[in-house]
Amino acid sequence: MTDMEQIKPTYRNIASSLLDDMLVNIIRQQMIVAMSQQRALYNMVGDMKGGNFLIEDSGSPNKDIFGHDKQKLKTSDISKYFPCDNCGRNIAAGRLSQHMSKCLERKRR
Amino acid sequence: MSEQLQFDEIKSQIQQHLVKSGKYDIINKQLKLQLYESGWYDEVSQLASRELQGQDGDQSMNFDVLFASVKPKAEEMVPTQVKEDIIQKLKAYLDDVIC
Repeated sequence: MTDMEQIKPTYRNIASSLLDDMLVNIIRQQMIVAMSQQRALYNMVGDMKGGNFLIEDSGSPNKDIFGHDKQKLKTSDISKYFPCDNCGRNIAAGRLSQHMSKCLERKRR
Repeated sequence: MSEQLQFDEIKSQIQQHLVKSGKYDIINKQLKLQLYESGWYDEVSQLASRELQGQDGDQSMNFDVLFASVKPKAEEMVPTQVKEDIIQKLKAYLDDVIC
């Protein structure tokens, strides 16, 4: 497209130019948000010159706040076993507390 | 140069009309919604965070530097489908008012 065609006031050109303006404003807003988040964080932790930290984006719905995969956490729960101090049986980590409360109750009776 | 002025003038008039009718607001919100759904906001936030951390060593956080650095990449990241959709909506509006 030549320069002349680009500035011709066609529907497309005007629409495209309006869209560009909208996007610039949206990007500007996002930068302000990003900067104020960064500033708030630095105010909280103090001036960490030389400190190396990455702000983990919590945007991913599959990760918890430590960055672990939620799905993997569930399965790791099931695969670990712990011996019950009361009866000595090996119980799955996820069921341990339930078992302990029943087991201690049984023993008391 | 006068062609540019003519273009700017027409664009300005159309924009005023758009804003007055409330259509500008509606289309702007639709654009934001589509950008959000496509994950664009998340990507741009991450990009901005990385840039800010890169800046921190050399100078205090500077909006102009950040904006100049992120803007071209952010514009590139907008999905073509979203751009086309909004352009079509704007063109439809123009079709409607300019008879």
